[in-house]
Amino acid sequence: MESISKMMLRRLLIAIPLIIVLFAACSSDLENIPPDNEHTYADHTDFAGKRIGVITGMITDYATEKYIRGIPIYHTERAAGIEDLKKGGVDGFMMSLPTARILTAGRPDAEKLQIIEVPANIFNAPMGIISVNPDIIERFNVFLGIVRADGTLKDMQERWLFDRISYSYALMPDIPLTGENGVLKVATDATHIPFAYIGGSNKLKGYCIELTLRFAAHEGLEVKFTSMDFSGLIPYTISQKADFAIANISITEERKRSVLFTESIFDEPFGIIVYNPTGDGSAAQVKAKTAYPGLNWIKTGVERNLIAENRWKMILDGLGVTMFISIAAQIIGTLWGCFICFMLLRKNKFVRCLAGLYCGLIHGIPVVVLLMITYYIIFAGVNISSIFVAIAAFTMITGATVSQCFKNAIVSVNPVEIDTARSMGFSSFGAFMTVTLPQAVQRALPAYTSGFVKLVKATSIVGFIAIQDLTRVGSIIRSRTFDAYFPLLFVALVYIIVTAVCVRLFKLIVFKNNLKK
Amino acid sequence: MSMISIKNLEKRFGDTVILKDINTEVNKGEVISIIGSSGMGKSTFLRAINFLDAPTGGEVFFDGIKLTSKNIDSVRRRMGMVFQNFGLFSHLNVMANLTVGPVKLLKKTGEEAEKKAAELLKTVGLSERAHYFPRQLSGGQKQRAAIARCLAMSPEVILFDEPTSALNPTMVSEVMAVMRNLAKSGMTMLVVTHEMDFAREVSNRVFYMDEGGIYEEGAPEEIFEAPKREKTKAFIYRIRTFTYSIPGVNFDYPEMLSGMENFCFHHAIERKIINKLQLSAEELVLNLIAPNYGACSLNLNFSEKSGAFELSVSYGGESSNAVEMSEDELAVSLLRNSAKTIRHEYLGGKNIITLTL
Repeated sequence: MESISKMMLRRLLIAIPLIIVLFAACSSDLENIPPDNEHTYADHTDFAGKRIGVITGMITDYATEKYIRGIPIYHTERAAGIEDLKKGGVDGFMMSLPTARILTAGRPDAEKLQIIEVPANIFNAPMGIISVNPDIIERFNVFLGIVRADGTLKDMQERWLFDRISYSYALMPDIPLTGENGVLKVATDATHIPFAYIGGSNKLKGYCIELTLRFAAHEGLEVKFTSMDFSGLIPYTISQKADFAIANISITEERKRSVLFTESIFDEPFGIIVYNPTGDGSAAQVKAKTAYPGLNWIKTGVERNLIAENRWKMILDGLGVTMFISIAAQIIGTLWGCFICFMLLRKNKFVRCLAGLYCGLIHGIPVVVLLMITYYIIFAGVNISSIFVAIAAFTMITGATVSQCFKNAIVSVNPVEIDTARSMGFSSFGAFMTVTLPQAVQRALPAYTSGFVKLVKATSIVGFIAIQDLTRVGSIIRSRTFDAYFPLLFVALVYIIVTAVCVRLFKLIVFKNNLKK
Repeated sequence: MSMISIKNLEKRFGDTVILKDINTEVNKGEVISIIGSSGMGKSTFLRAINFLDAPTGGEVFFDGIKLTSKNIDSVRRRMGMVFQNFGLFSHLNVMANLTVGPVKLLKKTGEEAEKKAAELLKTVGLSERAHYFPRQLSGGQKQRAAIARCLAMSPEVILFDEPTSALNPTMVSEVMAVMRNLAKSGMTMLVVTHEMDFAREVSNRVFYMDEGGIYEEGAPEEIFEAPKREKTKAFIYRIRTFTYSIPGVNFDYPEMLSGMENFCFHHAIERKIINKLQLSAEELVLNLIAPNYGACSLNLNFSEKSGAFELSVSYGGESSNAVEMSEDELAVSLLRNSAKTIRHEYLGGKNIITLTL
């Protein structure tokens, strides 16, 4: 007991200063970036042959190659992409112009960032809403015609997309929904300011959101939004889990072969952000604050990423989701694992092979792939919450891991002890309960505990199937504040603390049980 | 009164027959030592008696009850077993090891079981170690605890499967002492052992096992002082044998000599004696027997116990003493010089000349 708590204490004592040092190191790193790129860019033609950062799944990679003649370098997040730009990993970063303006304006180093606009006659991308239901497409097109005619659409674009500084003040107009004609299920990627993002009081905001609400009001529907990773939108829609998906989905001929598009809701212009360390960036509309040194950086980070708009609530919710999935999968997975283990220890070769095959199959598939298969194929036609799908997928994985761990523990019990128990008159079941099981439990415990820790960490991929867990919340916050480091490190810290506490609780529970015996 | 009776017991693993047609009785209060070389089925025999490795043929009766895999659990409660590798339950301390059986199987109360366990631990000298875990005990202590655990079930018979083989010599005696006391108290015991002193002094009967069964049995004096059958003798006197068969006069003589040499090296025999043996074999086979009688077979016996050598050559034909009949006087005188005695026998149509050295 004492040794366990001492060990945990020591681990925490090591981990916490480590994180703080890391935070501090990163904060100093922010200021001391060596000036690298002396090249200046006048317009988009200067980027031929240059490395240009793009977001995976967006149209920008195609545009980079076709119109800019640069080399696309794929990123998953805009904030991280800008850090890469500053380090010289890419020469420019291409993104939606409204987003680029907000991103550069909100940063402390705004004056060093410059936006090179790509002229609309060179390249712009019509955005559409996707669905597999022709009826929805038809109705939305009718609706588009109306809002285009009465000027509502133009007004919305002015407010959301061309007003450069008001994003944080941009208020969602109050659109009352009657819901008399049912519920509209909509998928979106809520990490893309100003199109769809999570704003104050953790509500969905943005151009796409307002447009959807207006459509719903027009149709007399209630709306249920599901936010997910951009790359998940198309499979999610195709598997008919949503009536339509709305985000920066560019209309392309290739995509038209898989899904149906509405008419353009916005012809999206693009810009390339470049970094100019000498700092006379013309894009700097909002005067940058001074860089944050050391502890001050942490303080600002907390304010920007956690306190502003009560984002800590989102973190707590995300943590709750992570823990709910992990604990449920661990409990059901353990029961399932016991059953698999029972099969693995049968004399019957067929049963044994079947269980072995299951374990091999599960271990052979990457967790992300398994999760997507479960979501998009196994539960394709079933209308259940994606949290339960995640629990099902992780239960399968835990079952395989736990069964192997239990089997090894059971096999490792000295056969002489079992012989002895039998020779005393214990039945084979009695010998199992008296000798094998207590020892197996003791031996399996370390692997079992670390298995749970691995599970908690493995659940960080559930964002792929539209679940807002801790990791995903971190991404959402980063997409709002464009702070590349703080949310990442903070989420890491939360994971460390939570897993450490879980390990501790685990050992406490088992230790108490052992004491009773 | 017969406690265990065994009829036509047979045990095979797949096609390999380990034990066949064993018939014997064990009486109440008897201490039976089971001796024999490794791999002769001694342990299998014990494990067949209590069905840990259920026999593939024949019957075992305990106190008149015919054992089957159905009733075996209740019979085992009356028939303890002590293993070579102790088999103490490693997750339980010594006291719990002694009480788990009585509480769970004999439905005794914890108090009762602990009281009895404490007494037993005292008799095996482990009172101080009651709350130790098996991993904290020496080998000898473990085995004494295992015996005490066995006794806690109040068995009527105890089967010991090489109880001291996994112990180093200093610990053997402490376990033996416990077993001697147990024997004195009248416990019926079957002991598979390599401790010949124990077998000789403590047991009432000794089984020598070989050829898949009880090869010879008798009182300890009979088995140890005057074993009747050949393999028993070889075992008791620890005789090591080298044989070489000679097809005719033009046999591979160097091969025979190097074979003898290897055998002697293997048993750490002095160079001087090896030379003497080789010389005698050369005279006997090469000069006296092979040229006159043809095919023969050479047999070299060495008793590790007494250090005595016996060189014998057997050949066919009418009764004829090759040494007496020979005209090679030089060879005969050399032989008479190196051997203590020279004996000729004619058994079952075979001449055997035996030299002792």
